[in-house]
Amino acid sequence: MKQVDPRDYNTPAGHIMDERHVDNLARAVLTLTREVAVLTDRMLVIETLLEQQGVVTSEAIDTYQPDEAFQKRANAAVAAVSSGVIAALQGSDKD
Amino acid sequence: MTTNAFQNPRLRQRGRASVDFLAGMAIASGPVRAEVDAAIAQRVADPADLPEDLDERLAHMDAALADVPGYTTQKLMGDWHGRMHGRISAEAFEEVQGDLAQAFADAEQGPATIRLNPDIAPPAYWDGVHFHRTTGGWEGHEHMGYIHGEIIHKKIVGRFFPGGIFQQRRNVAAMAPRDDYARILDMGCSSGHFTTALAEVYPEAAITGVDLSARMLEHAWRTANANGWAWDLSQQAAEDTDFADGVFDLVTSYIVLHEMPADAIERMFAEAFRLLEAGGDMLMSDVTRYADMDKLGVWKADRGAAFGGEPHWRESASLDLKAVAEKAGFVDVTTSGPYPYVIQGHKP
Repeated sequence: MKQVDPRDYNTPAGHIMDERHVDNLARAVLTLTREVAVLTDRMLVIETLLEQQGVVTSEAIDTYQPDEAFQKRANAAVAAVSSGVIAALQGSDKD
Repeated sequence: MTTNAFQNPRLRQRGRASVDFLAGMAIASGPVRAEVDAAIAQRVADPADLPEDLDERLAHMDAALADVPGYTTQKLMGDWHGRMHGRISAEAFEEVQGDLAQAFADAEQGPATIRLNPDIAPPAYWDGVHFHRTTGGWEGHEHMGYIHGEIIHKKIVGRFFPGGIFQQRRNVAAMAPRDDYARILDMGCSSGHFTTALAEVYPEAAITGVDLSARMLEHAWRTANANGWAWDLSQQAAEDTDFADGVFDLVTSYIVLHEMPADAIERMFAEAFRLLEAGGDMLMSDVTRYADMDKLGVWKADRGAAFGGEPHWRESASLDLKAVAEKAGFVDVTTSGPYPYVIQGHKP
């Protein structure tokens, strides 16, 4: 029987992702980016409601309708998140 | 844009931020497009030299751009958008479905009529196809008509058309040569966007709409009721309706032809001719013809169709619609374009 180093079992080597899974991983990155965008927007809503009313409820957050100023801030915040992810995928985020 | 309690809903935070994200991704991908465009400019010296065969052209361009990171990123983003836009929009709808319950109930009362056919045998070119890669297809959600008509089109697609997709529809509706039509048919009316334009441009006309999708027709029906329009809607193929000869004075369709293969389009023009009274007019529209683009433009459109849930686009956009209209019997056939490509004809 082949001699094994039991410590190899601590971090076993193995190829995990084939080409198809790389595509799935890339899609998962975009799916997560959406979630970050949603949470970024939600945080801005909470900040806005706290400034305006001093108190927030889930219903107030869910039903908040942006005015032009809010939409501009939200677009900029989400664009920063999206642009960073896209640049990383494109490989254009090199120094 | 027509607004009431039923249409153009106020989305809740998650849905609103998600559709904003979908739209924002297109804006944020500017550097990706720039990289791809620069690579194309460098590697395609003359579009006329690209392969004649469209499959070979797709393969040629894929190979030419294989080492361009932006091209890979563009493909990824396009695929993700294709997979997710329907799901995200359905989710956004489900968040507000309760808020809309009364508006839905109210929109089921009114002057419009709907005739669904549960025994319909949909044509093979349509049955089971997820057009636009909409998750589950047009019948894939109980309220797909609302999801497609009020969320996907109004809150995502509409942002990318300068001047708005609804003004575009009104402009096309107003191109018909008369302003006194009495009986108008909208072939492939879907959720009723062009039908709305027809109702706005020709407020005195009786408007009829047909479509294969029950879910889309239901939304068109509620939309008509919510606006007080007495549309007569029925579930049937535009190329094979049960209407009597010569009952309409204007027959229209708006950008539905690219969802149909050539033989069905030919039958639809023949049906339009049959349904028009003598002296009636035909007004159809669709996507830019491949014959009106250079090879590079065709490649972009063809690639978008291949990965955007458009199985009939290539065959349809390659068709000479003027010849099809004339073969059906129309005279004084005129066309304008490039987008929307509009074809008009007259029944002598």
